Amino acid sequence: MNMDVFARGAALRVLVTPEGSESWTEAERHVPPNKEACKAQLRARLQRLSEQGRLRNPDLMNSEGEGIHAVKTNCGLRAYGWFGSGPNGGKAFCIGHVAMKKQQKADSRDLKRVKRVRERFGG
Amino acid sequence: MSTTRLHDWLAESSEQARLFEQETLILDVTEAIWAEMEHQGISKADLAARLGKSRAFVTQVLNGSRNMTLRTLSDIAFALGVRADFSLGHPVQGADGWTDSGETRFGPRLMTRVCDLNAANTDWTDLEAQRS
Repeated sequence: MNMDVFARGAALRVLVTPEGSESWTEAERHVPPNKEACKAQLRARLQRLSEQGRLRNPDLMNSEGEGIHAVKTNCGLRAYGWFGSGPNGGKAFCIGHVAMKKQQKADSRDLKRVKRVRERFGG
Repeated sequence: MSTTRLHDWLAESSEQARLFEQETLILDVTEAIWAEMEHQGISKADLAARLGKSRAFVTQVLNGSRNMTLRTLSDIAFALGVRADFSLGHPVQGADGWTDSGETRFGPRLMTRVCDLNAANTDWTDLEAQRS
């Protein structure tokens, strides 16, 4: 099972599972036209994560429990993933699911989905 | 449309690359402020009190949902006892216009540095360099 390399930074690689890729494309269809910057915001935050290994501002990255983390944007677009190692070793943050969140709290279905993906990848 | 490879997405349109640069600059500034807050053990509530602003104001400025003016940045630096410095620069580029890793968009862009106001000499001290 292959994962796309989103970004290679000084601290880790950000990898995207096929499920993450598919859900990312779908989630971005629901980003309002006046919030296009949100798509760039998610990518900038993921790239920063690859450089620093973490985001210092806790408002930008949440632990959702059981090793699942969410990189957040200001419009509700969120990338859910886990820290692990990539196919060739080395630290990685693996994105298993992306969603356009409508309410403040994470949707339990989104968390279940990313956990299922993690299991498939042996995480 | 490529979603999952950053450099492909940036190459798709100059508008996407422009917005990405904005978000990157916001992160440069706000993560530098967070690093200094962590170093000094200062919370958002502490910073809000020092600024005479609400906690919500500080939250919005630090997560980029509220535009930070240069005056606000100066006030935050002053409240932390440091000075914000910046320079315009060109990141190292590979032959294809990208950095070696292929992940960083071309410049110019701003870079911030947090400097110690209490440095003994007249030169500003680069705290980030000291800590690394």
